[in-house]
Amino acid sequence: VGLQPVLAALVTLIGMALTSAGVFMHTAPAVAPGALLTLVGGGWLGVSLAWRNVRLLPGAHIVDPPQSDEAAT
Amino acid sequence: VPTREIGWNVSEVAFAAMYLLVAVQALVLGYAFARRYLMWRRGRPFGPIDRIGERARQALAVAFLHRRLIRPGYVYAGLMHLFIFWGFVVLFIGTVIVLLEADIARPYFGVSFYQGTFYVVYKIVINFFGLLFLIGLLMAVYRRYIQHLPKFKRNLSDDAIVLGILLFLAITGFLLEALRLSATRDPAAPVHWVAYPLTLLLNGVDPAALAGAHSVTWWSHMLANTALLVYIPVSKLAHMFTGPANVFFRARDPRAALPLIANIEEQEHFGVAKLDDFSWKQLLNFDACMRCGRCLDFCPTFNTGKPLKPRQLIVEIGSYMNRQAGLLAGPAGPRIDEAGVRGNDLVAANEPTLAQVPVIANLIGDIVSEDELWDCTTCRACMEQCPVSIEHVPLIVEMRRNLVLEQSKFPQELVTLFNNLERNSNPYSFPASSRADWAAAAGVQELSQVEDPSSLEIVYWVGCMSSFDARNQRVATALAKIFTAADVKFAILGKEEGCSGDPARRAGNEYLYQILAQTNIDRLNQYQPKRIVASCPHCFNTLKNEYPQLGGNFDVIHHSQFVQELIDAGRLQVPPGTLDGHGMAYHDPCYLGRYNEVYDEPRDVLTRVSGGFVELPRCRDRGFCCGAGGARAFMEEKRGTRISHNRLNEAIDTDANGVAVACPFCVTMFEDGVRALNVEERFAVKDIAEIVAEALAPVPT
Repeated sequence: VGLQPVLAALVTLIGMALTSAGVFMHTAPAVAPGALLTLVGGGWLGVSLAWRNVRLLPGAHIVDPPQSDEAAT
Repeated sequence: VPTREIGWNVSEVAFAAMYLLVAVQALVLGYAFARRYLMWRRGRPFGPIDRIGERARQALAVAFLHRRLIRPGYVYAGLMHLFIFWGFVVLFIGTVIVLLEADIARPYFGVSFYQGTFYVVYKIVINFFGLLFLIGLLMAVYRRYIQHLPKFKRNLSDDAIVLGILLFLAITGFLLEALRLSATRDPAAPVHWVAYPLTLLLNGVDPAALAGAHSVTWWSHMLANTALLVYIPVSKLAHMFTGPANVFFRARDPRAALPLIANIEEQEHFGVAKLDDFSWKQLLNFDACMRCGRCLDFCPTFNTGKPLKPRQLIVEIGSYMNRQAGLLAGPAGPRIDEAGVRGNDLVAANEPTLAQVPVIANLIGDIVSEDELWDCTTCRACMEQCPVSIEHVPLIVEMRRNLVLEQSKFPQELVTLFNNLERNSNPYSFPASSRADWAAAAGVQELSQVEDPSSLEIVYWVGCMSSFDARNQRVATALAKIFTAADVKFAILGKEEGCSGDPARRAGNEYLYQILAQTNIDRLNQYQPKRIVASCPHCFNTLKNEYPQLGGNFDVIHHSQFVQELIDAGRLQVPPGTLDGHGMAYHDPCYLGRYNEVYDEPRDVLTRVSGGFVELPRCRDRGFCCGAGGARAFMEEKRGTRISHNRLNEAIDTDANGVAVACPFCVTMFEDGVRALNVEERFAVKDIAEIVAEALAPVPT
């Protein structure tokens, strides 16, 4: 899958941990940076998965017919 | 001090869940828009993207002021969208303000702004826009599901999901507020002026029950909000970003020219046969559609029951594209129902498996039928009405180009057309040498007979229809009479004139078009005309807007414009007209009106000469095609009812004496129509040149 999605997932997890800590331990200053990391990490993870052609949704997908020379081979 | 406790009755678990769901929302947003971007990137280059400031202003005007959404005929729909849009935007800003108070201002700066006057104003404003949002959504439900408009006969599940989620959010938002106000006996309750009446209904309910209901409503509201944010990038809601982007990147100048295939001799592949053949901007078109159906309102094919429905074309190619991008869930496969109807909601039906198996589909044939492509009259009604500037006609012509130039698949009638154009340089079987026969009878001289062509004020571009068709030769003769009466020094190219190439180009035969166009350009460059007056709007458009692509830069105007100039300059004396009965109705030729925005000149001429005219219900940019454009004049109209009859019936219903036009193709279509409808005795078809010529005193010979 590559390094980027792993890093993005890590950032997301750190963000989620920070936010949870802020909420459950009543340390409000941790919530905003945690949420921001969650947002950035989540978005980054989405983009990097898309870039690696990972399909998130089930189901068949349509493809173009092969070119005639490709079909011949 | 009026304020509220942020997070009242919300548990820590609920709060944590709200923040953690941000990860899911961000992931789907990032994934879906990246997939869309990667799909657009597959397209061919497009550009240049110039005049950035002007483009940005137009895109912002569409997005924030609804410039193209609120216009005559669309006040209800425009206001509906305006209410939903601004309601959504202000409610979103309101949510951000609460987050800033709770997560930034208080924890980092120890200050609170969410109280006192700010709070009161905030609540009044938020309630107002919340109500606007709700009203807009109810208007949308009425329009789509209760009004039963023909264009909303077939709605997709996506349409219902979008409206359902948004309505749920609006209702639960007000309900949440009412439950909190009731349970906390908030003294500032009347400030929440929309939610407040609900609190009166809840008087006397046990506060614990209110708190319980509040908790359930909070969770459902929050989950619906997450669903919405996740759904935006994979549904038609993406148009909130792709719509303005499409307006920003739309083709600029000239607005009426089709894209040129440069160095056509060296090309090995023509037009569009698969998604990658579109330009990236054309691919963006498919993601910008929000299925409002305005493209259908004045579409001649949709309104006469033909297979081509511009919205369906865009939606189905968009669906095909997004299935390739992996953005649509569920089984996929091109599917046609028993009635031969294609629809992307049918695509998912009866597939046996959800496995990620590729389904091979051809863009032309499986997704878009050839009949759909050949039905288009290229009248541009769809493009003119589309609020987000989707450019349907060039997409269709690109696919026609592939069918003609690469697959040699086109209607049989076009074989005759292309052969005639190649052999005779006109769409008919008349020899090119007979092109100026009408002129000899009318005493009109050919350019080759003029000793000093530079002494001519204009060259009259007659066009094939007026050169060869007996009915339209009367229009050319009338125009020659007008020129003579106004002492205009003019000549025609005569036998040296060839077809402008418009029917070949619109039919997808770009190769033939370029040969015809280049021949004409070389000839015209040889004579260097000061000005060209064309009586055919199709020739007018081609010479004016498309010949510059091949090096032909000429001053070209339409005869309606030139006649108006002559009258204004006092060179043409026409007696002030008196209205005869209701007068004639004026029909806007598509290639004059929508393509070149010549709306007022023919009306002005008609008013001066006839004393007035009847404005048809579908007029100007909302005019209805006669059915001849896009080379349709040379093809049989086998599907649905006749377009020209639809338009004629509209004109007849106004009790007008006849219909005035400014295009030889419209003349022919309507002349055929009045005969078929058996109204030729009481309903005349005339070009405005004929009407002006009739008003003139006889020219001494």
